Amino acid sequence: MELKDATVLLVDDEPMLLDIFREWLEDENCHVLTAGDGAAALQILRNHHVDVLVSDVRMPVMDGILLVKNLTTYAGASQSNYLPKMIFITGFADLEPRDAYDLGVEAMVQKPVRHAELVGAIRRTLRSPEESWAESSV
Amino acid sequence: MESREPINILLVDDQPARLISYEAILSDLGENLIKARSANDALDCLLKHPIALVLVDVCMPDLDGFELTSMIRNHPRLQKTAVILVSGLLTEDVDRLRGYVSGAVDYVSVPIVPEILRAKVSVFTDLFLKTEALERLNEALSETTRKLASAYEASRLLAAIVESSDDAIIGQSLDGTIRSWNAGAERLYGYCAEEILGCNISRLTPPERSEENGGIVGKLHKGEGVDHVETVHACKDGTLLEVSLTISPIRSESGEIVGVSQMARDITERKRMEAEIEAKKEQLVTSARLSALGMMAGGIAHEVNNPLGIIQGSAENMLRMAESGSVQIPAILKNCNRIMGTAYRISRIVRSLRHIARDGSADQFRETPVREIVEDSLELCSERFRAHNIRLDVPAVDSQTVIACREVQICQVLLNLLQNAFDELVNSEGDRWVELDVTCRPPWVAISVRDSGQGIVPENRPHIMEPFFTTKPVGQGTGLGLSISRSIVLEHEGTLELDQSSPHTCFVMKLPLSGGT
Repeated sequence: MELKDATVLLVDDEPMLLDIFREWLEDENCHVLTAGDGAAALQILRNHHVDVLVSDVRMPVMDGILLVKNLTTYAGASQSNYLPKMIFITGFADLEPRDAYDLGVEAMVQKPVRHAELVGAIRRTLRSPEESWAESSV
Repeated sequence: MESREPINILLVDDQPARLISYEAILSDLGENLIKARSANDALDCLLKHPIALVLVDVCMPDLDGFELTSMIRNHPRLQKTAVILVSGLLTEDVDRLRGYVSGAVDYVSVPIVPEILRAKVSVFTDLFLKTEALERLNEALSETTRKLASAYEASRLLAAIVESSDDAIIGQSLDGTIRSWNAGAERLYGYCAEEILGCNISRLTPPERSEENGGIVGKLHKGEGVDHVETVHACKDGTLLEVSLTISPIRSESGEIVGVSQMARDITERKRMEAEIEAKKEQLVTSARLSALGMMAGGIAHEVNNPLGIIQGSAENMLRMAESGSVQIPAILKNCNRIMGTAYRISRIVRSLRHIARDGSADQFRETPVREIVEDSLELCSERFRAHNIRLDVPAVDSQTVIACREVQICQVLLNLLQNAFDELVNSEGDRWVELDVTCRPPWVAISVRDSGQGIVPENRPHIMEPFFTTKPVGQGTGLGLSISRSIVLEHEGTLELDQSSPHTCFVMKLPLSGGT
């Protein structure tokens, strides 16, 4: 899937960062949704189809880990198997990569986030496995 | 002749006339004469009174003189009582012999020559008196001997105690001449008794401290002792020792001060330990501060990471714009404003860091608004509370509330209280909150930190301010936070107490409001 066709949900408690990330993704012509914490994100996910979820880990009300756990439990219960691709934005010692992998998270982007890294990570998760293999073999 | 109590002389005869004549003969002696009409009467009297001499008629009905004499001789209490037998009939040598054998000291024949009888009685009473005097002397002598022996024993024990003492015990005359020197002194100073006895005690004082002794000597002359004075003494080989001295006057029996006893204990090792403990304490205080710093580092890193992301993102935006060649002024302004605002945010965090990274205990007291202290402290820890979903309620603080303080230290106390509340709640479930409150009640301002935890169990309450007391798991708390906090608050003439009336854990720091406002 191309980035321009995707719907991305950005979750961060830092409004200015949300603003910047939104600018970056809108420059790529994709559809962007934003939420200030995990609970608000969950609400959006119930009503919208989201291809990629990009979430901060540490957030008030509901943090990124709890959001992902809720999401996977919900997906399992509804048997819809619908689950967006998940990317974590992590800061200092928030989460071990291994734990993120166990949660089903596909990529982790380190803070402070660079434009190329965020856009690149989203792009990679949108590719089918075959495309990824092709890229890595080049 | 010296006057004395008359002694008792017992006269025994069955014929009253004879008794009267004895009485007449002996009355001149001035002794106490007791008469008995029979041997039985005599025995009765002997058992009731102390009798020095008994004059006994040999021929008496029932018990005769011989039998009475041997009964007297055989009685243990009457050993010293002399018996003189008198007889008109039995005057042969055989009779006399029988009398001596029965225990009599003399045998007088009738007719009695008064002068002879008087002389004999007088000799025996004298003998009795002298014997008694001797006995008394002997008794006194053995009492003295006993006393001497026990005194000797006591002094030997004392000497042994002095000798075996680890402390140096030195006896001196009033001018400071050393008169006794125990093994402890020998070990401590290295001088043996032979070489130091007769020297002046000032030999132990290092030259540079010679003036210190003046005060001690003056006190001693007034009869006062000196208890546990710490000073420095020099050994024979010149090494300096830290000693604790106890000096007391030695008094004669009449109370006069005749000398001085000086006890010296080597406290070099103790001093070294004390210094070591002091150094360890300082290390612990530092490490307590550093551990607080470490615990906050995570929150701070997160707090700085977000603004950094904003700066980086905004800068990248402008860079991409420049690279693409389409520079839009409004977008540039937007990004620049973001960068400026965020840089200010970071500078505030960095500014607040000085409160925990620095000691601050030597800072000057400065008039500081309580609001600034609260804001700076929150800057450092609010992120941690937020990240762990612990609600932190903070009131609006009047900017006119000012205290004179070392800002760094009061921030540290407030951070410590907030840290404790955080540690208490971080692993608990349910609604978690921490409430900061600032109440102004002149002349005090009370800054309280209350948390939703279950409070401190009553048995721990008396100990929470003690150094090293902690309920946190091993490795998490040094147990120094509250005790250091309390000493800081005390230095500010305030109080730090647990509010026992609150159902939750609530610490209240009361500080005097600055008089200036």
